[in-house]
Amino acid sequence: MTGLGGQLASSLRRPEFWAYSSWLDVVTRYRRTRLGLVWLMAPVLMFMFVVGPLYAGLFQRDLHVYMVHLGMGYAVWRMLVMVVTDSTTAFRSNKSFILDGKTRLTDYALRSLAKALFYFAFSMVGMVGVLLWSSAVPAWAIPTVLVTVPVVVLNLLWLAYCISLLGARSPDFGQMLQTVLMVGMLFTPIIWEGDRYPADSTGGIIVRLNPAFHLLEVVREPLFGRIPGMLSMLYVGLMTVLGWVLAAILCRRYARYVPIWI
Amino acid sequence: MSPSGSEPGRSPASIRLQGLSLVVPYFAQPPSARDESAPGRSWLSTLFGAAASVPRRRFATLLSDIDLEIRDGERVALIGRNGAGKSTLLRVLAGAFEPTEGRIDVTGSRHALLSMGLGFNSEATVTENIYLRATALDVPPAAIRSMVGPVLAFSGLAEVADRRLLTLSSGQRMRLGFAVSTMVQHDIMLLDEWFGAGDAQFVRAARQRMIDRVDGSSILVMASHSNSLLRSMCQRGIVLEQGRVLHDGPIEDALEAYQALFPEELAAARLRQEEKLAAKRKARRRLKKKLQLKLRAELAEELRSQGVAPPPGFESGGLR
Repeated sequence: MTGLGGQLASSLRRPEFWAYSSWLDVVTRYRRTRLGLVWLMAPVLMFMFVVGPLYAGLFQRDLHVYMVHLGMGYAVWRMLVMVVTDSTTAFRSNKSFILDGKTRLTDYALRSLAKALFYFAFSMVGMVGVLLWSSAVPAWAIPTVLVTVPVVVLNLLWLAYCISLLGARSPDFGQMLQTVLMVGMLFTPIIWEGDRYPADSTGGIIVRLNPAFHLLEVVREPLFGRIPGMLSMLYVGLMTVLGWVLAAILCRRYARYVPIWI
Repeated sequence: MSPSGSEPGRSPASIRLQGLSLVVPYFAQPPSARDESAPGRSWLSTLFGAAASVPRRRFATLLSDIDLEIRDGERVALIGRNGAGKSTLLRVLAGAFEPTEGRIDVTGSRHALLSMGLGFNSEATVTENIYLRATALDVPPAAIRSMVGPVLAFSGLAEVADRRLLTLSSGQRMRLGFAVSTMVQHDIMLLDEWFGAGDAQFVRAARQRMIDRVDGSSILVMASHSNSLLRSMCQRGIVLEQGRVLHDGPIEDALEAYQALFPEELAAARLRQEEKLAAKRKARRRLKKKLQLKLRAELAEELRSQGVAPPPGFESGGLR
């Protein structure tokens, strides 16, 4: 079995299987509904337009700032949750392919990621409208998502790969992640804003241990025309590098056992 | 779709296993959880035990110390009772399971038809599933488009092409899987009990397709319990028993060696055969006697017509 780099390269060279099968998964889920793909956009729109004004009033924030904060935060968070929950069972649910000798495991990690990305792309349809409308977002800042989102995706990919490996070995791992994610939504600055907790307070230090905090920071801050904090950039940079190293190690050590685990 | 097996200049396909063993982990409930006869255990504690007992991780040796060499052009049958390791060995040959010990060297492209009905999206249409299966088999997109028609024709599903897969019967699904998987020609074919369902007509078509495909590919390894099928398609047989190679040789010998695994059944079969033989002998004797009588009668008739009295014995055996 080839190393992680080789696997990934050949998966990316032959995207037909993972791209097509995940697209099929997404499309067929909504096929029997009347509104079809509109449902893909609904959750984030709902969050922005219902929760947005409500909490902006509650926290006494400017709606222009808060809608972007909430919408973008929720969209990225949702993508993260989807990748994590889907990858815990990624290998097990593709068992029949794997046992027929299709052991390029990156295909299945990419499948989980692609599904979440499709959802994310659809939720961006509404989001772009809000970004254009918001007076807090300078027009030149909008294209920064073309840089920041790929950074997030890069992190999600190693995460998906590691989680699917560990999830294949131990079902406990998947259960644990689901529990963590449930709390994680409240723990991450999606509804509330990160500057509520200054970085030098005890609470501030704790919330800043959360990787999602920094991922969101890196995506959202540039939209307001600001450079994300040094700490966040360092955190995300380090996480990207270490994550890929971890994925490569796990791949070398455990990838060959996956078919017998599932 | 052209048979690559007959291409000139192709390097010969081969499979080589050396000292191969496979040990896999499995989970088992501790015995107390299912020990219902244990005294003093109430119904409630049985329930509780079923929920709380932690499954233990154990290891099972599915294949041990297998040495095997399969050369270009060989058609090999894997024979053995259920759980002997046939499917596991096929999965090792397909490259899914990596051996715990020993090594495996395979040259040539391989294609496994092990789990035919799986790997579908049941909410998607039949046509979409053809695309899905074909991309999973690494068929280039341009080739898939030209595959759809033939696949639908072969599987006889053209009129339901736009229906969702879950509306199809299991037999129809098997046809679809079979049709897609056998559209592509590979050097090494690995088959596992591929006649699950399917009506007589399809089985005939599938058999013909298999024979064509197998002729095109240079190595075939198949596991089956159908002796007639194995006889018609393989020359070499490997008998597996508890993960070991018990016998390796020409197919007839291998089938015999497999039969020998069931002594009581073998004895019964022998008895049946003897009875059959005895009945045949009896029938033959009766026929001979009848023929004799008939001949005598004819002869007597002829003698009488010439005015000669037939001998007494002949008269008594006359037409009756």
